[in-house]
Amino acid sequence: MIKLNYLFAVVALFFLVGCSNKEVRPSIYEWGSYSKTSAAYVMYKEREDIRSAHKNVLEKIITKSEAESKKVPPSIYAEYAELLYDSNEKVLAKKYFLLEKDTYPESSVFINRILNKLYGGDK
Amino acid sequence: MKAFFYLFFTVLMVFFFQGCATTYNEITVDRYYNQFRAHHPKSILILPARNFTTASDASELYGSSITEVLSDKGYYVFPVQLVDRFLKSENLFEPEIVRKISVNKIKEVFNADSVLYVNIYNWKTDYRVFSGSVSVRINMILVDTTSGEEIWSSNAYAQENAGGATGGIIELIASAIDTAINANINYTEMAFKANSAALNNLPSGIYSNNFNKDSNQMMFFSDHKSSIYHKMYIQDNKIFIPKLLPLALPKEGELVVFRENGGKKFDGYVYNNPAYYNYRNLEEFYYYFEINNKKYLRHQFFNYEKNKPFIVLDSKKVFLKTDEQNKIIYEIKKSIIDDYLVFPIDSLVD
Repeated sequence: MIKLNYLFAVVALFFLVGCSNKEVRPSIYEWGSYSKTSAAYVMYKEREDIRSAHKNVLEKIITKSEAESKKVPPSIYAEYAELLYDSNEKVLAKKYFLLEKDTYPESSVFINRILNKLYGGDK
Repeated sequence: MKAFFYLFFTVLMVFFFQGCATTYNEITVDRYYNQFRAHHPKSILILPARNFTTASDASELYGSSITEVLSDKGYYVFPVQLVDRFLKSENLFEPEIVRKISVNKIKEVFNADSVLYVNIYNWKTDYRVFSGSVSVRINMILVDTTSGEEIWSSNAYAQENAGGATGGIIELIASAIDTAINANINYTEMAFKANSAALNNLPSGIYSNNFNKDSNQMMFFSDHKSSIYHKMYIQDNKIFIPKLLPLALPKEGELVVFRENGGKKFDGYVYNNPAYYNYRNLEEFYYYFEINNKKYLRHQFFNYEKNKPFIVLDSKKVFLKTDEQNKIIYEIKKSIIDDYLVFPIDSLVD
C-alpha cells in the first residue's frame, strides 16, 4: 500500500516536470563577481590570492558604478575600506569608510563607532 | 484486482496532473505580511546566522551571499563582515549570544531600522534516490527595532540536482562524490538561490524603483483545487491538507523536494505552504526562535502572525489552533487514496 503510494508520487513527478516558479530579481546595482569572491574570501581569509581577488572585485564595482553614475551598492565602500585597513593602507581606508557614510547616511552611527575604534578620537 | 485498481488511479492521477494542473490561490504581499508597511524599514542589519547544521562554515558562507540579494530589494544592508568584526571586538563571538541582544540596543548601537534573524538547516551533502544533492533550508524573521514587532518572515529551500533521473547506480554514486568535492562552491550558489527565493516576497525598499508600488504584488499558494483526490479544503471548521501531494518523497523524516529547474543546476523556493510537502511527522520540524530575549516555538512549514501559525487557502489567512505550548493541533485522517492532515481552525481572516 505504502509502496504504491510512492509509485503514485513518482509517476506524478514525471508529469509535473515543467512547473517551476520563475525568479524575479531585478538588480539595482553593479555587482560583478561579488558573490563568488566574497564567499571564497570568508572561507579562506588567510589566503593572499583570494583576498586580492576579492579586493579587485570590490575595486571594479566601485570604479564601474562611479563611471556609470550608479550608486555603489550598500556596504561595498565599507568592505573595501576594511580590506585596505587590514593591508595597512589606513589613510586610504578612512576615505572609503567616510564614503560609505556619505553615500548611505543611515550607516553613519555605526561607521562612526568603527572609526572611533580604528582611529581613536581623530575622525 | 487490487493492482489493477491502483493502476487505474495512477492513470487517473497522470491525467489530472498533466500540464501542471496545480491550481493556486493568491493573496497580496501586504495582506500576508500585514505588519510590514506600518514599520517599513529603510535599513536592515543581518545578524550572524544561527547554524543548526554540522557544517561549521555555513553561517559565514551564508553571510557572504545575502548582501547582494537584499540590497537589490532596495534596502541599506549593513556591512556583514564589519558588523561581525565589531561584535567580536565587543566580545560577542557566538551567534547564540548575539541573539540575546535586545532590539533597543541594536537600534542604539547600529541605528538600524530592522534586524534580520536567520536560522540555517540541512546544510549538507547527501545521497538521494535520483541524485546526489546538496540542500539548504533557511528561516528568516525580520524585526522592527523601534517596536520590537516581527514584520516579515520567510522560509526557503534550495537544492542542487547533481544527477539526473536516468543514471545507473554507479553514475549516481559518482555524482554524489563530485557533489562532496564541489560542496563549498555549491553551498554558496545555493544559499544565493535560497536567499533570492526567500526575499522575493519582501516588499521593496526605498532604493528600489518599486518602493511603495508593490502593495498589490501577489503571493501564490498551491491548493490543488483541480485535483479530485488531493485538494486542500475546509470543512466543519477544519482544514484538510493531503499528505501525499505532490512533489516530494520522504526519506528518514527529511524533506526531499524534486522540482524541474528550467535547465539550471540550482533551484530555490519558499515553502510557506505546507501543501508542497509530504511531511510524515510534523513534530520533527519545530524549532525555537529567540528574539529580543523571548523564546518562541515555531514550525518550519508555517508562517506566523502575532505568534499564531497560519496558512493560505481560498485567498484567506487560515489561523490554526495551537495547544498551550504553541504546538499546532492536528490529526491524521486516513483514506484509500491519500491521507489527510486535519487542522482545527482558530480563525479565518479575509
